[in-house]
Amino acid sequence: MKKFYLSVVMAVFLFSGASLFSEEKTSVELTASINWTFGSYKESSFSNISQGFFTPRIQLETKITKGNFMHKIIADYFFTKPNSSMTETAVVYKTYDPVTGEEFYQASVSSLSFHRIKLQYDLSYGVFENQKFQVYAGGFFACNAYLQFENYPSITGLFSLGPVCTANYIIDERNSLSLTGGIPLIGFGVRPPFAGCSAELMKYAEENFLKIFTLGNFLSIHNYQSIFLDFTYNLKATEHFTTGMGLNLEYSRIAQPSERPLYYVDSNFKVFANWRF
Amino acid sequence: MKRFIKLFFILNVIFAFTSCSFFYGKDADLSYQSMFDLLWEDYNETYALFEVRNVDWNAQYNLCKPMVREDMTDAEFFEVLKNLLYPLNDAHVYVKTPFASLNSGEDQTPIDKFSLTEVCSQYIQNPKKCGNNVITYGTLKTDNTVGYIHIAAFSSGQTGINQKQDWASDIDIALEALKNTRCLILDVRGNRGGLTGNVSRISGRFCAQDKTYAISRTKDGKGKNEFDKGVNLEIKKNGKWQYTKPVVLLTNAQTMSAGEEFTMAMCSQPHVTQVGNHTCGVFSLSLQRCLTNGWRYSISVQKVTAPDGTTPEGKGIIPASGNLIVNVTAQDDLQMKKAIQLCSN
Repeated sequence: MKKFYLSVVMAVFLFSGASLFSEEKTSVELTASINWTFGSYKESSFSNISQGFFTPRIQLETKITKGNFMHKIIADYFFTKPNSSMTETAVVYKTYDPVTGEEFYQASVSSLSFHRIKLQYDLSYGVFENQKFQVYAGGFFACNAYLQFENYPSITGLFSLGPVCTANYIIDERNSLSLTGGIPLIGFGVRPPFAGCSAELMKYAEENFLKIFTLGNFLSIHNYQSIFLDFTYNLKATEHFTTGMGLNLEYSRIAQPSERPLYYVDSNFKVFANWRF
Repeated sequence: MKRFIKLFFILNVIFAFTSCSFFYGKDADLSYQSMFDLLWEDYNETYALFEVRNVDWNAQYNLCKPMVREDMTDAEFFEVLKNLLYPLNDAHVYVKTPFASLNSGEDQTPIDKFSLTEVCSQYIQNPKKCGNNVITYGTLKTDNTVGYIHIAAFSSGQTGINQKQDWASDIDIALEALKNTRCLILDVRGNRGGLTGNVSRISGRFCAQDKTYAISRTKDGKGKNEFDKGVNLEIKKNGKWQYTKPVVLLTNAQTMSAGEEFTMAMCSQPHVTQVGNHTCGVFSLSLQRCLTNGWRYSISVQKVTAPDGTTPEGKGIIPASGNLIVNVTAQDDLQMKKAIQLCSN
């Protein structure tokens, strides 16, 4: 499994490198978008309740088209303070002060926070083109992180590979639609252990943070089901500037450990500006 | 085009509002029956110490489930949870609610009499603080060749996944000040624990011999005996020099968790003598989880054993019989008096 995974990663990078250095006409597009995301997740190694969120988000995208090849690099981040019965309930706890030797009640509210980070590289090849349609098919390599911080951190880090497909529909000279979809098929991920945290995880975090990756597992569709979709509407304002809006959807279930999966679903509305060189 | 924009909005809203129930099932069940079952099940799968604590968890279910009624109040449900959790007698098992809290171990154990304020006023010459006020140090009023250090906790402020915290390095300040003493009273009474990384940092300054003092195994599956391969807890030399002159380690029943790991680490060293009461007897990592109504509860997820395979869980670390002393009042600190006596010899 390990050899297979590494050879696929190598093949993707060699292939993408080769395509970038070919001598064909190149166009580069930079896209920045302002987003509103709503969704929820359940980190069942931490709690049996879902955490909802509604939050702004940042996405940056670079698209390089060279001949029939399309390279896309996406950087995506948001931070949120989720809502749930947990974050809305203040609790008290009787504790003890060793300085005075007396007991007292301490009130606390949850400081739960959640970060979502995604870096993705897509490499696609134009398989069909006419006056109205363009279809690209290829693969992607993604690095995903789902970070929850509360009483203790629950960190999920994933590297994944899978097919990606993009279809563009040209309505007229100024207006067009595009749809991109992908499904990770294999990956490697670090997840919180069954109990949520372990002595091994804490020891590695203390000694060498990168060593935590040795606690990871190979993933495939039996324990990692995910899909992402991206619809966009593009309005070409000038030769070099396009604006538009779109909708991203993502669903992921990472069942590692199998009894305590992470469920994640979001829906992201975006408004973007695109510069073409 | 307007129709198209509208379609985007509608799609987005529909997806967002249906996604939760579609993927996660219906809304969280807030019935007392369901919450009881969830909590019982979570302990059943995750709690590491039923065998050590000699508790038949299925019997507890059969005893307590009939007490749960849907027409009961939160306060009554809280009382049922007391009946369920008190037999574990584990100070790392607690429930926090908006109106009260329970602690399975501490609610059933009297607090040992100890006050750092009293110790400082009666025995210590110009006590100083360092390490975010966690560390108090000085020398005895009666004998400035005997040093005193109190460590109130093994965590302070924000804790992240990386366990090392800057304040723990301030043990160096205290030890530099007490470098020329001939004996040291190291007091961890009332130390309710914290992070193992800070235990390693501080205990390393008192290490004469590198040693493995315990093995910590974490629950790794639903089965009663499913644990991971474990991690050795070690005391290793740390800092420019180590304090290897006689050390009297003061403990009491409020020395808990990482405070007890520190006690285990220190007691593995030949120059350390433990004095006071036994420690609390809770060594596991205590992980807080959440009920569907927002109440928090905590589970002990680890089994810590000494290198010989025995576990101090539930019993604590017990001083030798001549040094096992319980304070009657904080003002008359018999444990401190015994420590001073040992340092005088």
